[in-house]
Amino acid sequence: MDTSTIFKNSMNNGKIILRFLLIFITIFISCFAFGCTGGVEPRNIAITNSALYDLDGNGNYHVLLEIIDLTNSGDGRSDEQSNYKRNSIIKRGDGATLAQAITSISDQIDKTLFGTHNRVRIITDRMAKNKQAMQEFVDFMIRNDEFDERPWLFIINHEDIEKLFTVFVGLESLIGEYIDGVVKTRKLNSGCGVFVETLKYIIDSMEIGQDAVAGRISIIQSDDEDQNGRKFEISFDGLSAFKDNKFMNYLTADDALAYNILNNYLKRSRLNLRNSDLKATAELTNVNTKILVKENNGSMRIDINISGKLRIAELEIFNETNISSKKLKVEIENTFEEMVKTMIEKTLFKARDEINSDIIGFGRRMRMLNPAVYDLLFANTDYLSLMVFNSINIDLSIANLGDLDISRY
Amino acid sequence: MINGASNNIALDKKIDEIRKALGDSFDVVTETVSLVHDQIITAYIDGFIDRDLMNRDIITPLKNVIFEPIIESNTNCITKKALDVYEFANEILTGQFGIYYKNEYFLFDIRKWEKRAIQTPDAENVTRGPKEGFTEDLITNTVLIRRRLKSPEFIIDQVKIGNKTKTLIGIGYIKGLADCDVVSQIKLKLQLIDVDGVTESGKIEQYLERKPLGLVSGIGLTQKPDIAVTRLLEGKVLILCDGTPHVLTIPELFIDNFKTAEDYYHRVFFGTFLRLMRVIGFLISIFLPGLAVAITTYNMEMLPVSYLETIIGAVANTPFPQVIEILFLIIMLELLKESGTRLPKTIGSAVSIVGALIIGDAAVRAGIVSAPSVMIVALTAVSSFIIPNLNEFTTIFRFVFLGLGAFLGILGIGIGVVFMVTQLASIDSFGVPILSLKSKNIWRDTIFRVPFKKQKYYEFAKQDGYINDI
Repeated sequence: MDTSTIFKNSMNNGKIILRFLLIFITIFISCFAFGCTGGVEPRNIAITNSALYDLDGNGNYHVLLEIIDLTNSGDGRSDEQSNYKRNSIIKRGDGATLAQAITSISDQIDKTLFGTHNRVRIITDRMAKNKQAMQEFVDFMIRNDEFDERPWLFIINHEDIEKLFTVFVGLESLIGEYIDGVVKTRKLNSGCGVFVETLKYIIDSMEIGQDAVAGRISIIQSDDEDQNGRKFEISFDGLSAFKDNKFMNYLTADDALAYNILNNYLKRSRLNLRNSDLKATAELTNVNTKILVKENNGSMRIDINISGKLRIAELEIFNETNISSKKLKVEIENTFEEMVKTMIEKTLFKARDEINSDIIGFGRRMRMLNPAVYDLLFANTDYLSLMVFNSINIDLSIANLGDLDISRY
Repeated sequence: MINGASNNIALDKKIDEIRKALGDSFDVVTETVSLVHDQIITAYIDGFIDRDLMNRDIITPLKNVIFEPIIESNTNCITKKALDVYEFANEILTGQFGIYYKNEYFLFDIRKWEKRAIQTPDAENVTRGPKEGFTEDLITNTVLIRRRLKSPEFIIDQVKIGNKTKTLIGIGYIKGLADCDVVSQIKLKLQLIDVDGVTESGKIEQYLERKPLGLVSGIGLTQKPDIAVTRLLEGKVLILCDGTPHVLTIPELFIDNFKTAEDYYHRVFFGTFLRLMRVIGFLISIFLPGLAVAITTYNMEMLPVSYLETIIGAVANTPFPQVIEILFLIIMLELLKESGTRLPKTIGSAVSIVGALIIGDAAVRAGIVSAPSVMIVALTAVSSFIIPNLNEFTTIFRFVFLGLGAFLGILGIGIGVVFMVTQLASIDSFGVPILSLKSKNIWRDTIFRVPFKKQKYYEFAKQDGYINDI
């Protein structure tokens, strides 16, 4: 082998060594830069299913975590799994900060808290009313990667905390699972509740020209007890309105429906109508809302157009006999349109005048359409007083009158 | 008498010379045969020639010649002459029958030896399609191909490799379809191989590939003549090695590993479905153990809570981390595969059953490994059998991804994917990158298989009049 060949070979070997060195450096840097050293075995985690956050008068946080108890879950074989029913334990932690409160729970259990499968996050109204506490909550959620942002966010009256973990939970055995199940069903079938993920709340609370909302949970006395002696139920009707990340007040089920209609969140909801001429129940579907926001002489002029379809589920007419007559159809449509219009107006005025919160996000729409005008006229003022609801047009058409099939009776 | 004695001494000397050239083994037969006027020396390897043919068509006619025999015209076989004793010996070692007569070396091709019958290859079983497989005999293999490809454009060139073994290598290709550069490169590389012996095409494969340390060679493998013909029609080159039923196909793109002959015999949609299944199987066999460990160690939020609960319940009482469990099971699997392959079929299946029982049931019941880990490794094992040609590649990368998943989580899997794709992208097969889809019609026959009417070799076949115009 001559000298030049030996030199070439040594150069090639050098290149190979350099290449491997670079690969190892890349892996090494990636490993430590992305923090890939904190793996936890599944057997060492404690899965939280729901979390409740409270703040007392002394400025101390109280966190209650519902942790899934997996001690009876078996070894994965079907015969032992078949009778397995999930249980939970409730752990309470206190501290001057949220992190401290949660750490105190971690200290009580022998496993690592695993919050990314948390279903529900509930905050008491007395904590929600404290702007600083809510900001700390948002900050904690954004910074902490052990707790994800997907759980539904609800506000609860702080007097109902004790009752919360004794409520009827349907066919589930965990509060978090139960609420998650109800939310998924009600999102499709009812517009009387507002269901917001924590992330949506965080985004809205940071959005310019938009105030955040959260769901509302209230504990109501049940008519009868279940087999476990539970006599309380959860009501999900209504919503919790915020302004500048501070809880302002609860709104009713009708307000929640109006909120869902205005934001195009409504899938399907039932409207009940009763007056001297008719009694009707209709399913409101295919709702499409268009909101047009314009600047007009220093004010924010708002035009709202709502269209939708009605499917009549129940109808009783006191005077008319021919229910499919065109005139009657129009009359029913007009009556429902009037009803929806009244409901929406009521909500809009309540939000603007009583709660003083832009939960629909008119300011955000204005800013998106005309940022310069928004910055000039509305950014530095409380623009709610400058909002003018110019027109609210409702156009509902009956898609199905629900004619009776006489042959079936 | 003196002349006769001196003649005998000369013949004895020649016999010694020939035996020396042939290696003087017990199976080397050198005999003096007396004719009417003269004597000849016959030389052959015992068991290599057809003795009946030798007696009937060569020795008996020569004995019946009254005058001085003329070997070429007095025998009933085609005769060839060797220049010297060394060429004479070399030809005899390849199975020819030799006669020495009056300073001339004559050779007769009356080769006949015991060989395996044509059987269905174990590794490429099909439910539909030809069952024939290649054998260890080169000529039988060329006949199997030629029977399916009756075209004058189909050429088989011959090369001898191995200073000692002198193994016959056939280079098959279709003129006009195969890339001339690839053919000439293969020939050149084969001629440059300087080795004592070649007993299997695997050795040639390693001499031909550009990156001996790569996990994929860019050279395909088949044991079935119908697949070999399909590859030829795709413009590829075959390398047939005497003594092995494994035929090499060059160049082999990575995507070709996912194709089987059966794909072409099924309907289009089912053929495509089978290929998709193979791709899924390939991905599972490489990634599943690593991904499972990465997810259950670093990214448990990706799993549904009910599944996570099942896993927690299953691993709660096992002593080792999941990565150790899976590593243990994969090593067990490889041991079982290896022992099952080496042992006789009857004992091999018994080993598999015992192994399956130990891993699948006893290990779980003893609480050494968890049921989900067994399920993961079982699924991986089943998937890995789908593409036997990529077995080496998937086995090695399975361990790599398991390690990366255990130490770096999903990020590690990502790094591994980059490394794997880079490795694959850097490999070419005689100038064709194995990840390329170079041919203009290749999209039509990759993961998705279009009807034959749209494919390239249909056009070739149509030109040659093998099928009627439709």
